Amino acid sequence: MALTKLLSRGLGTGVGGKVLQVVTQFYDTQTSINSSSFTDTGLSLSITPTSTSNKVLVMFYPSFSGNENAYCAFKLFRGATEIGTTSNTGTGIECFTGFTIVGAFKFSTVVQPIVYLDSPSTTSATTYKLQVSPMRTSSEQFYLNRSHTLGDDNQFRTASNVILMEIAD
Amino acid sequence: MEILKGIIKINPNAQVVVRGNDLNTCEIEWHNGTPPIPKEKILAILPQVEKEIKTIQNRVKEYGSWQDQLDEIYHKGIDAWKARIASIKSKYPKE
Repeated sequence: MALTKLLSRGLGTGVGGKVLQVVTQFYDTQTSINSSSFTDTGLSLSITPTSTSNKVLVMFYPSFSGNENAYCAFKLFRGATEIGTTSNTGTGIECFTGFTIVGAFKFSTVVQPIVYLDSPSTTSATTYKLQVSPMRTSSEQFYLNRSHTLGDDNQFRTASNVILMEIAD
Repeated sequence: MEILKGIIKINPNAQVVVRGNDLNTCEIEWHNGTPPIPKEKILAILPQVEKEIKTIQNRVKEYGSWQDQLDEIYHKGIDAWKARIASIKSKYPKE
Protein backbone atom coordinates (compact mmCIF):
# COMPACT_ATOMS: atom_id res chain seq x y z
CA MET A 1 0.00 0.00 0.00
CA ALA A 2 1.48 3.33 -1.06
CA LEU A 3 1.94 5.95 1.66
CA THR A 4 1.35 9.62 0.97
CA LYS A 5 3.25 12.24 2.97
CA LEU A 6 0.91 14.94 4.24
CA LEU A 7 2.22 18.47 4.79
CA SER A 8 0.26 20.58 7.23
CA ARG A 9 0.72 23.65 5.06
CA GLY A 10 -1.39 21.84 2.48
CA LEU A 11 -4.19 21.15 4.92
CA GLY A 12 -7.30 23.25 5.29
CA THR A 13 -7.85 26.19 7.60
CA GLY A 14 -7.99 25.20 11.22
CA VAL A 15 -5.95 22.06 10.76
CA GLY A 16 -2.81 23.37 12.45
CA GLY A 17 -0.61 22.21 15.25
CA LYS A 18 1.38 19.77 13.16
CA VAL A 19 5.08 19.25 13.70
CA LEU A 20 6.89 20.61 10.64
CA GLN A 21 10.50 20.01 11.63
CA VAL A 22 12.54 18.75 14.54
CA VAL A 23 16.14 19.60 15.36
CA THR A 24 18.09 18.14 18.26
CA GLN A 25 21.29 18.61 20.21
CA PHE A 26 22.88 15.78 22.15
CA TYR A 27 25.46 17.39 24.42
CA ASP A 28 27.76 15.48 26.72
CA THR A 29 30.65 17.90 27.23
CA GLN A 30 31.36 17.99 30.95
CA THR A 31 31.12 21.65 31.90
CA SER A 32 32.12 22.89 35.34
CA ILE A 33 31.16 26.38 36.46
CA ASN A 34 32.18 28.29 39.57
CA SER A 35 30.47 31.63 39.39
CA SER A 36 27.92 34.05 40.76
CA SER A 37 26.93 35.20 37.25
CA PHE A 38 24.70 33.77 34.55
CA THR A 39 26.86 31.74 32.17
CA ASP A 40 26.25 29.84 28.92
CA THR A 41 25.80 26.15 29.62
CA GLY A 42 26.77 25.12 26.08
CA LEU A 43 23.23 23.94 25.42
CA SER A 44 22.37 25.90 22.28
CA LEU A 45 20.45 25.04 19.13
CA SER A 46 19.17 26.85 16.02
CA ILE A 47 16.02 26.41 13.96
CA THR A 48 14.72 28.25 10.90
CA PRO A 49 10.92 28.56 10.98
CA THR A 50 9.16 28.27 7.62
CA SER A 51 6.50 30.85 8.48
CA THR A 52 6.35 33.86 10.79
CA SER A 53 3.07 32.59 12.23
CA ASN A 54 4.44 29.21 13.27
CA LYS A 55 5.51 28.42 16.81
CA VAL A 56 8.57 26.67 18.19
CA LEU A 57 8.27 24.14 20.99
CA VAL A 58 11.50 24.58 22.94
CA MET A 59 12.64 21.72 25.15
CA PHE A 60 15.88 21.76 27.14
CA TYR A 61 16.81 18.84 29.37
CA PRO A 62 20.02 19.74 31.23
CA SER A 63 21.54 16.96 33.34
CA PHE A 64 23.49 18.50 36.18
CA SER A 65 24.82 18.48 39.71
CA GLY A 66 26.51 20.94 42.03
CA ASN A 67 28.05 21.40 45.41
CA GLU A 68 25.92 21.69 48.52
CA ASN A 69 24.48 25.17 48.83
CA ALA A 70 24.34 25.74 45.06
CA TYR A 71 21.05 27.46 44.21
CA CYS A 72 21.03 26.94 40.45
CA ALA A 73 18.92 29.42 38.45
CA PHE A 74 18.24 28.83 34.75
CA LYS A 75 17.44 31.38 32.07
CA LEU A 76 16.23 30.61 28.55
CA PHE A 77 17.14 32.84 25.61
CA ARG A 78 16.01 33.32 22.00
CA GLY A 79 19.03 35.10 20.56
CA ALA A 80 19.74 37.83 23.08
CA THR A 81 16.12 37.94 24.31
CA GLU A 82 15.27 36.25 27.58
CA ILE A 83 12.07 34.22 27.23
CA GLY A 84 9.91 32.29 29.64
CA THR A 85 11.11 34.22 32.68
CA THR A 86 8.57 35.21 35.26
CA SER A 87 7.26 38.77 35.20
CA ASN A 88 6.90 38.77 38.98
CA THR A 89 9.32 41.04 40.79
CA GLY A 90 10.55 41.17 44.36
CA THR A 91 12.86 39.07 46.47
CA GLY A 92 14.29 36.13 44.54
CA ILE A 93 16.04 36.02 41.20
CA GLU A 94 13.84 36.26 38.10
CA CYS A 95 14.49 33.15 36.02
CA PHE A 96 12.80 30.31 34.16
CA THR A 97 13.31 27.79 36.95
CA GLY A 98 15.71 26.89 39.73
CA PHE A 99 17.07 23.91 41.61
CA THR A 100 18.83 23.77 44.96
CA ILE A 101 21.51 21.16 45.64
CA VAL A 102 21.16 19.81 49.18
CA GLY A 103 22.79 16.90 50.96
CA ALA A 104 23.44 13.81 48.88
CA PHE A 105 22.11 15.47 45.71
CA LYS A 106 25.70 16.40 44.95
CA PHE A 107 26.43 12.71 44.41
CA SER A 108 23.57 12.55 41.94
CA THR A 109 22.59 14.15 38.66
CA VAL A 110 19.15 15.56 38.01
CA VAL A 111 17.38 16.51 34.80
CA GLN A 112 15.40 19.72 34.99
CA PRO A 113 12.91 19.97 32.07
CA ILE A 114 12.70 23.47 30.60
CA VAL A 115 9.82 23.56 28.12
CA TYR A 116 8.41 26.65 26.44
CA LEU A 117 6.13 27.27 23.44
CA ASP A 118 7.65 30.26 21.68
CA SER A 119 6.32 32.54 18.94
CA PRO A 120 9.52 33.85 17.31
CA SER A 121 7.66 35.64 14.45
CA THR A 122 10.52 35.15 12.01
CA THR A 123 11.70 32.96 9.15
CA SER A 124 15.34 33.63 9.97
CA ALA A 125 17.62 31.18 11.73
CA THR A 126 16.84 31.47 15.44
CA THR A 127 19.12 30.26 18.21
CA TYR A 128 17.89 29.15 21.62
CA LYS A 129 20.29 28.74 24.51
CA LEU A 130 20.30 28.03 28.23
CA GLN A 131 22.23 29.94 30.87
CA VAL A 132 22.76 29.03 34.49
CA SER A 133 23.85 30.86 37.59
CA PRO A 134 25.00 28.50 40.36
CA MET A 135 24.44 31.20 43.00
CA ARG A 136 24.03 34.99 43.13
CA THR A 137 25.46 35.94 46.50
CA SER A 138 28.59 33.80 46.31
CA SER A 139 30.44 31.60 43.84
CA GLU A 140 29.22 28.01 43.90
CA GLN A 141 29.94 24.99 41.76
CA PHE A 142 27.66 23.74 38.97
CA TYR A 143 28.45 20.64 36.90
CA LEU A 144 26.71 19.86 33.60
CA ASN A 145 26.73 16.23 32.47
CA ARG A 146 28.37 14.82 35.56
CA SER A 147 27.86 14.52 39.29
CA HIS A 148 29.72 16.88 41.59
CA THR A 149 32.04 14.09 42.64
CA LEU A 150 33.53 11.50 40.29
CA GLY A 151 35.49 9.27 42.64
CA ASP A 152 34.28 5.91 41.37
CA ASP A 153 31.56 4.24 39.31
CA ASN A 154 28.95 4.99 41.97
CA GLN A 155 28.84 8.52 40.56
CA PHE A 156 27.62 9.63 37.16
CA ARG A 157 28.74 10.91 33.79
CA THR A 158 25.65 11.89 31.85
CA ALA A 159 24.34 13.82 28.85
CA SER A 160 21.89 16.63 28.16
CA ASN A 161 19.46 17.08 25.30
CA VAL A 162 17.79 19.92 23.45
CA ILE A 163 14.84 19.45 21.12
CA LEU A 164 13.23 22.20 19.00
CA MET A 165 10.01 21.54 17.08
CA GLU A 166 8.43 23.91 14.60
CA ILE A 167 4.69 23.73 15.07
CA ALA A 168 2.30 24.83 12.33
CA ASP A 169 0.05 27.72 13.26
CA MET B 1 39.84 15.19 35.93
CA GLU B 2 38.67 17.48 38.73
CA ILE B 3 39.89 20.61 36.93
CA LEU B 4 37.46 23.04 38.53
CA LYS B 5 38.18 21.81 42.06
CA GLY B 6 41.91 22.17 41.35
CA ILE B 7 41.40 25.76 40.22
CA ILE B 8 39.33 26.57 43.33
CA LYS B 9 42.02 25.02 45.54
CA ILE B 10 44.57 27.41 44.03
CA ASN B 11 42.21 30.40 44.01
CA PRO B 12 39.06 29.96 46.16
CA ASN B 13 37.60 33.15 44.68
CA ALA B 14 38.05 32.13 41.04
CA GLN B 15 35.03 32.67 38.81
CA VAL B 16 35.57 30.28 35.95
CA VAL B 17 33.98 27.95 33.43
CA VAL B 18 35.70 24.74 32.32
CA ARG B 19 34.31 23.14 29.16
CA GLY B 20 35.64 19.61 28.83
CA ASN B 21 37.18 17.01 31.11
CA ASP B 22 40.72 16.84 29.74
CA LEU B 23 43.09 19.54 30.91
CA ASN B 24 45.01 19.37 27.60
CA THR B 25 41.95 20.03 25.44
CA CYS B 26 39.41 21.79 27.67
CA GLU B 27 38.42 25.43 27.25
CA ILE B 28 38.80 27.55 30.37
CA GLU B 29 36.97 30.89 30.59
CA TRP B 30 38.08 33.26 33.33
CA HIS B 31 35.25 35.54 34.43
CA ASN B 32 34.85 38.77 36.38
CA GLY B 33 38.53 39.68 36.43
CA THR B 34 39.78 36.32 37.71
CA PRO B 35 43.49 36.08 36.83
CA PRO B 36 44.18 33.04 34.63
CA ILE B 37 46.09 30.14 36.17
CA PRO B 38 48.54 28.29 33.91
CA LYS B 39 47.47 24.74 33.05
CA GLU B 40 50.79 23.42 34.39
CA LYS B 41 49.94 24.78 37.82
CA ILE B 42 46.46 23.22 37.71
CA LEU B 43 47.93 19.89 36.58
CA ALA B 44 50.36 19.90 39.48
CA ILE B 45 47.62 20.17 42.11
CA LEU B 46 45.18 17.62 40.63
CA PRO B 47 46.64 14.52 42.34
CA GLN B 48 46.20 16.21 45.74
CA VAL B 49 42.61 17.22 44.92
CA GLU B 50 41.67 13.76 43.70
CA LYS B 51 43.22 12.15 46.77
CA GLU B 52 41.18 14.46 49.04
CA ILE B 53 37.99 13.58 47.17
CA LYS B 54 38.70 9.87 47.53
CA THR B 55 39.37 10.33 51.25
CA ILE B 56 36.05 12.12 51.77
CA GLN B 57 34.16 9.53 49.74
CA ASN B 58 35.66 6.67 51.71
CA ARG B 59 34.80 8.36 54.98
CA VAL B 60 31.22 9.15 53.96
CA LYS B 61 30.61 5.57 52.86
CA GLU B 62 31.75 4.17 56.17
CA TYR B 63 30.01 6.80 58.31
CA GLY B 64 26.65 5.54 57.06
CA SER B 65 23.53 7.66 56.74
CA TRP B 66 22.77 10.24 59.41
CA GLN B 67 19.66 8.23 60.29
CA ASP B 68 21.79 5.15 60.99
CA GLN B 69 24.25 7.25 62.98
CA LEU B 70 21.44 8.67 65.13
CA ASP B 71 20.17 5.12 65.67
CA GLU B 72 23.69 4.06 66.65
CA ILE B 73 23.94 6.92 69.17
CA TYR B 74 20.54 6.02 70.64
CA HIS B 75 21.42 2.36 71.09
CA LYS B 76 25.18 2.47 71.85
CA GLY B 77 25.73 5.97 73.18
CA ILE B 78 27.65 8.98 71.94
CA ASP B 79 31.08 7.74 73.05
CA ALA B 80 30.79 4.52 71.04
CA TRP B 81 29.73 6.57 68.01
CA LYS B 82 32.61 9.00 68.45
CA ALA B 83 35.08 6.13 68.72
CA ARG B 84 33.83 4.57 65.49
CA ILE B 85 33.95 7.90 63.64
CA ALA B 86 37.47 8.56 64.93
CA SER B 87 38.63 5.15 63.71
CA ILE B 88 37.26 5.92 60.23
CA LYS B 89 39.02 9.30 60.21
CA SER B 90 42.27 7.57 61.17
CA LYS B 91 41.77 4.93 58.50
CA TYR B 92 41.35 7.61 55.82
CA PRO B 93 43.52 10.54 56.98
CA LYS B 94 43.53 13.94 55.33
CA GLU B 95 46.96 15.19 54.32
